[in-house]
Amino acid sequence: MSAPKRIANRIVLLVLLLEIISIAIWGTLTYQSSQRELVNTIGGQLSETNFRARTEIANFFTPLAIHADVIASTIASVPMSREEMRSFLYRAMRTRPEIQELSLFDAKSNELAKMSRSESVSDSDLRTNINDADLQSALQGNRATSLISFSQYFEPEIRLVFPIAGKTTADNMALGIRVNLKWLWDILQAQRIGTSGYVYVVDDSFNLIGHIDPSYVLARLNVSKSSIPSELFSGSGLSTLTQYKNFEGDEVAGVSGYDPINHWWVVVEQPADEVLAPLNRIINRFLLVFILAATITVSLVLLFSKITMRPLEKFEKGIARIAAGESTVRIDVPADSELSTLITAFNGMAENLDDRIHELREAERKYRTLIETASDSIIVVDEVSGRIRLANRRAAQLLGYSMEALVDMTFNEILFDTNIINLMRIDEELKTEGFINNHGTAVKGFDGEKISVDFSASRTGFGDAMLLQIAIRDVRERQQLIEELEYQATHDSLTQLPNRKMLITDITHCLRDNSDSGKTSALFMVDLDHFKEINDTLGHRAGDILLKEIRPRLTQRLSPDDLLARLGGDEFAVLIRNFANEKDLVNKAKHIIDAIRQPFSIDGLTVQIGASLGVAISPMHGIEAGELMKCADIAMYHAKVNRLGFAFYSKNLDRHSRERLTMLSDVTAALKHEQFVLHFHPKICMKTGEVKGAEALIRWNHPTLGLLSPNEFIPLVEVSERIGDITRWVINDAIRGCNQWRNAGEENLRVAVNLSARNLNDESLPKTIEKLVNAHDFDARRLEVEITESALIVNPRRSRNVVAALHDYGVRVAIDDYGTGYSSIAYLRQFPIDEIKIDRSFVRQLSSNRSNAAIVRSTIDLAHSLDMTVVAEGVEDGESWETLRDLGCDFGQSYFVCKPKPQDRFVEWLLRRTESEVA
Amino acid sequence: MIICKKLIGTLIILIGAIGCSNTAVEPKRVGIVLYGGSRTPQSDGLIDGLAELGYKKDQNILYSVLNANNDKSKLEMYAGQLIQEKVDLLVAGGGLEADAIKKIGRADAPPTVVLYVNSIVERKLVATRADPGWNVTGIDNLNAELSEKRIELVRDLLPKSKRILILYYPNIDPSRIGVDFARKAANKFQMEVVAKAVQSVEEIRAEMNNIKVNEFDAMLTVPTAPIDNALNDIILPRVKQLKLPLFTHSRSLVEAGALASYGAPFYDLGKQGARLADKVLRGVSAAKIPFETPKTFVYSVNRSELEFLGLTLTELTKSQINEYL
Repeated sequence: MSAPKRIANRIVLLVLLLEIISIAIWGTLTYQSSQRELVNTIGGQLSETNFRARTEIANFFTPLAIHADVIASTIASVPMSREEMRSFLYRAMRTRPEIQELSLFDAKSNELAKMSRSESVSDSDLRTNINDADLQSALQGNRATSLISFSQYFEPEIRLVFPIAGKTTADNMALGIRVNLKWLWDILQAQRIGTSGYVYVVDDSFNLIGHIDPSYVLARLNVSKSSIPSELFSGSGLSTLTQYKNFEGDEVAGVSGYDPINHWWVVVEQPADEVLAPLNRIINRFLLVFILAATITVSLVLLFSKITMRPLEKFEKGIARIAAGESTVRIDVPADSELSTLITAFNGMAENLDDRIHELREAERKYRTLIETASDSIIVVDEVSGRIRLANRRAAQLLGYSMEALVDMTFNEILFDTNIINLMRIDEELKTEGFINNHGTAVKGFDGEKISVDFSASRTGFGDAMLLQIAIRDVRERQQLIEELEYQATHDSLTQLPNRKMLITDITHCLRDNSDSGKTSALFMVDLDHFKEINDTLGHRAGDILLKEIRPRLTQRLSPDDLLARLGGDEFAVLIRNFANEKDLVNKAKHIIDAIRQPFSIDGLTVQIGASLGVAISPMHGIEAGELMKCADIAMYHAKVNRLGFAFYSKNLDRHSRERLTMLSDVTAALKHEQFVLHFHPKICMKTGEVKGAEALIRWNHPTLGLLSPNEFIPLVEVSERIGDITRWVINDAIRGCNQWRNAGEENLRVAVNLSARNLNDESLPKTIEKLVNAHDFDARRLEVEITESALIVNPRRSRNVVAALHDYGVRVAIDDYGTGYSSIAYLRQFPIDEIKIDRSFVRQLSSNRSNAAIVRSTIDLAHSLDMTVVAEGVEDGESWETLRDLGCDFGQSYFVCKPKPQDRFVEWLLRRTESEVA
Repeated sequence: MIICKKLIGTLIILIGAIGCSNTAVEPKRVGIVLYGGSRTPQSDGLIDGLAELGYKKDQNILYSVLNANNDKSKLEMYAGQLIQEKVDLLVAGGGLEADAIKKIGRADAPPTVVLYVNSIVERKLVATRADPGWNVTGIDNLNAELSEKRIELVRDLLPKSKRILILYYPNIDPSRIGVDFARKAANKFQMEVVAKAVQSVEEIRAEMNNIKVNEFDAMLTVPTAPIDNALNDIILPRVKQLKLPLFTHSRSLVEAGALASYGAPFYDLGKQGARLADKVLRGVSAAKIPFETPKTFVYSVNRSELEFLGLTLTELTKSQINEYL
């Protein structure tokens, strides 16, 4: 606010204050005299009401007393029969409706008659009342009045007892009258005292006995314990008007009066605000006058000050404009004004200032042009305040501020880390070096972003100011390029996971840290099972999609300390920096395998793969990265070959691993040198015990490793084209074996061979089999192929084509290891299946696990309903055999009955069995 | 200068506020719900009573009267409508209206004054006489309780009477309670009350038709609306046929042909209710005012019935009677 306006305001406030003081004095005097007058008037009104109320009380009781005297004297003077007495009393009661009950007593306190307005009274209701004090008093010739009591309907009642004098004391009688006081209270409470005034009655014990709100009376309120002043109940007549808080806590004005007959106090009260309402009206009028006067006064003073203060306001505005940098300001000099000399001097000063500012602006313009054309970002900093005084657009763009925002920020505010570089350090360095050329620091952008820069600084002068000129060069692109190269060198481009190089570096750092701290770490080597089939059947793009999906799945199950890396192909590794015990590692390994086993959805197809995982622990299994990786790799291959899921490294595995590496190359030689042999495992009818066929199982009679089971080499071969050669060999040998059984007299036996997922992907397989069948003059219906559920779902479309072609040709199709996959019979119905082979895991615990029994039973029932036969694998004892037979299972394969045997021994077993059956 | 302008603005607003401060007192708004024309005497008594207490109609008090014309189903709607109109006080002409107001149980309902009701605890209109449980007060006409007194008056009117017939509805509280009080008095006077429970007009007709000549000395009614409604068509013709004296609880039934009645006049109850309404309008909580009993009871006798029955009044009875119709 301008100074002239402030002065004007002060004048207005002063005038207003003087006006308030004078009116307040006048108002107070008026108020006091009005209040005195009002109190006298209200006091008179309340006293008059009080008097009227007490008169009403007298008017209520006096006729009653007269009435009672008439009744008493009539009874005393006129002899009446009992019936006449009742009639007389009824008439007496009828004339006074406030009488609720009349009783007549003899000198011995016996109730002679009793009339009630609402109750029936018989002779049996009449009582003797010797202990009635009021009655005894009346029989002595004194009138008695009881305390107020309340009826069963909470209505106030009072009992009056009047004496009836007989000729002798023995002839004395008494008349009891029960009076309902609500008649009286209604009369009193109908008294109008202003709008909200009221009357109430207090007895001589200060108990409230009548009030407009009966709840106070029923609550037995004693006013002596309230805030009502005691002087209201101390005189013998009317009290003066008193202002106090009533027992409800409201401010009231009241007058009390004493009723000497009933010994009651009658109080008339009116709310204070109502009593003082006329006074409040006076105050309101007074305020209205005051405000009107004040409004007029303030308006006039404002008008006067505006006229006189106008030149001074112009002068002040001129100074303010110069202060704001407007140097061309000139003020009109008013004629004959007290301010003329002052304003002329001001105009001269403004002209000088204008010239000087002009010169400075020209110099600044030149300097600004210079820095605007610079290729670097330039900022000019005030050395004293540390604030940025000037900056070019390039600097504003670099930092992300507007020019206006950047100028006037402190230099330290735009530095990313003032511990590394700050204004004080630059100043010190300039003092010694004269110039600074700094590489590799950083400034802070508008949103806090770190901007890597090089900068140089030098001192410059501008007028008297001490300034620093700082040139800043953005080096982020260069730095980003370096970082990208580093990233590419250490990460896999497909999954963005750390690659082998980074894994080795991290393992090396981790093991080095462990050697200092004594901690242990572990390395998981993970190899995906059947990934190659995905790549081969669905293409590399599908393989890539699956590999990318691996990262989020595994990351979810790893802790932040763990490092997941892709080593190439379908190989991953996990560095577990910290773990509590081996159980932790087992859990983590299971989680990883479980995550990979979950179905993948690739272009609408659901595929399922597995994983084999090897675990090596440092320092137990190695203290260098290469050593640890090798151990984990060996453990992983052990797990894969033996279908263990995961395995921990042990020294015993080393030998096998080396041999494993050479095994794959030995397969060709094995085929050539007939190192493979077939063992046959019979399928026996559970009802009849007849042999219905046999499953051909391959064995490798390895020259150095001995007899290898298929689990030890098929998984290795399965991923290569070699599996086709082996399958062809197995089918050929199985057909040949089956023909030999025919020659031995077993003409109806079937032979079953196992097919892998890769075989099912080979659409030439049906033709191959057809050729082999024809070559051996074999009945295709005696050939059976066993396929696992997982093999079918790797490429369902192609599998369906191959299986359908085989089935059409007459080859029986069986589902092997049923129950270990995730498919259902309903799903498998899309394939032409002839037989279901229940996996040994369900059969093994058949008698001990009720849920397994339920699954087997429902599988058998469902398969039969779909015209499939059921084979139980791995029946281990006679009890299981019998249970399965009872469940309706068709065939069984059991080591308990017959272990797989080579061809010659199998034929022997068959012949022996036949002979024993014949015998 | 801005401060000075604000000062002037404030002063002008104050002038307005003070100028408007002396507003007139708003008239009180009273909503009256009536079951039918039979409630008119109570309603008239209330309005007259309030007028005597200084409430001038359409000046300092406004009445909204809604009459359901004997359609009980409209009572709740009318009560809700009056609550909606924000009346200061709700007046129920009788027990049915009071039950309806209680049933709708609106939190924003104003205090209620009931002009004519009986058996207030038994019919669950109030929780107890001391604490009604909601903002209500009124006049309990004691119609059921007065059955005791009526037996005494029958004894005095018909000294030879020994067997008194009462028809009653066991599921109507005042009816049932009236029988209890009548029996209490009958026991005192060595009389017998024969109370026959009925449930319908047909049962009333059947019971009346079953009465034999001289089987009963008198018949007493207890407050039961369905029996009152059957008086003209069923009960009165039959008692005339049997020459059976009929003592009732309502003056209007004597006007219709019954021999006698003892009870509170409806108009007086309305005037008495005006006192309660005044208290409530002056700010006393209705819930704190216990239900009152009637100030007056009137014993009315039908002179032509006296003659028809050939009865001669004793001096005692004459002393009891307030009016002859």
